[in-house]
Amino acid sequence: MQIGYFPGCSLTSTAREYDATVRQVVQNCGFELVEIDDWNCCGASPADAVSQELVLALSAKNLAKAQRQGLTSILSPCPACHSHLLQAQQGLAETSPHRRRILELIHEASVPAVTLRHLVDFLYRDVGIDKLKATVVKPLTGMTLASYYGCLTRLKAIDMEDRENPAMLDEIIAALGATAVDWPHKTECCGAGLAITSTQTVLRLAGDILAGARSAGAQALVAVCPLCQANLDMRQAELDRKRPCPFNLPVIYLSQLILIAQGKSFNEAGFDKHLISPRSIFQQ
Amino acid sequence: MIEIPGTQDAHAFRRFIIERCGEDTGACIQCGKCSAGCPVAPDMDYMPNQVMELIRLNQRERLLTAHSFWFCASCQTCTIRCPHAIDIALVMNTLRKLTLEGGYAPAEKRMPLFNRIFLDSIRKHGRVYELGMVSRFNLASGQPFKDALLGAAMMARRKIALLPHRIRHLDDIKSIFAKYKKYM
Repeated sequence: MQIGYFPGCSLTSTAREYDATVRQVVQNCGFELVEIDDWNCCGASPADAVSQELVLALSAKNLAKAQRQGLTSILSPCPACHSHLLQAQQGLAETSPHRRRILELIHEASVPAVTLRHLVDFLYRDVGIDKLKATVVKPLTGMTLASYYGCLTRLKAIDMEDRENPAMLDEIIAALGATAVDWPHKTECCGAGLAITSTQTVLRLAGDILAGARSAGAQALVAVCPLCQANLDMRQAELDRKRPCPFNLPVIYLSQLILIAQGKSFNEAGFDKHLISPRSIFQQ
Repeated sequence: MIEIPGTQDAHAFRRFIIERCGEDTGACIQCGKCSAGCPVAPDMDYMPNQVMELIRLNQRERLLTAHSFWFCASCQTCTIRCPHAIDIALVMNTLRKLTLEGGYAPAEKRMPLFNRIFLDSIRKHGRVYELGMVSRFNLASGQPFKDALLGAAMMARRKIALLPHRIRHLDDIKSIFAKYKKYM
């Protein structure tokens, strides 16, 4: 089966390993990824802070590009990109007050609706827990992990059954043979949007999340957002300077974890890009 | 620059917010759930529930010169939890826009500067060029060596693209941006 692919800017740079492993996992689950040709940035929060129509038009442009390739569904592993595609689709609806203006800005007559997925609901709904389980050749038995959803996966887009205490990612982790710990910071915001402009804020938030995972007994965090992963992995050195002992908590992308369970070796999962290496966890 | 109502009558600013984003802060019951769950409330001069109340009280000047909403991380926790279904994060974002559109000096300089440099990167390349964008921001905000060690660690791991990627149909993006240049 075919599914369109919108990687987003982070996945071509700071989250390259997320991109590489998502591509493999999707293929291993029996889907063919077709990247949107010549896709552009979704505008992220800066475009949203300037104009709603600007941010809607940038993502609508990507939907129009997908339409030209005949794609009927789009997977975006970045929750921010994903939510912008979803907002653009809502903005393009017949009943939306923004429709006319967006179409004018992108020079299109109409853009048909498609199915929009993030990695978590793609695995949960399109692949399914049973089918995912069937691809596991090396169960992650004995591993205890903190399922970190981050803030943006709670949007209606992913349709979590319980947005305060979601379970989709926990179920996926369990399907791989690992244990997902019960912990309080599952959906707490890491502040990544302020990483450059208010680093002190981000250090406080990242420190709370890492401490939460540690006290729940997790060996690592499982992330599903390129900004969360970068933020939580890269800020540990700075946080450790003010702590009696280092966090040393690896932040693993869900796709990397699945790939290992599907039989790939440690060296094939892109962990050389991480600042906190998860090597010791996978060697136990 | 636009004229932002707020002095003509007691409800002018609240009505203007409704007009701009569809959210009526008059529905707020001051339960405080938004501020209790807000991850950046400690950084704010007015917490989300106070922002709702200040709009209701027609406090245009106080709000548009506040630090509060510049720290909003847009995490949507307030919006998800509001018992009266006010999209509080949308109101925060609307206040950011009104500050710029109304010609107010933003109380926080770094966030609007970052937004402008980020958008400039998209306009020039069609995608964000992270390395160029962060270097430019650090220079422009007078902290050229900020996160230099981190940057070196990322480069050693080839974790950040060294060169920008320019999309083929950049004209489409430039034509979208042409309409919004005045705010950049």
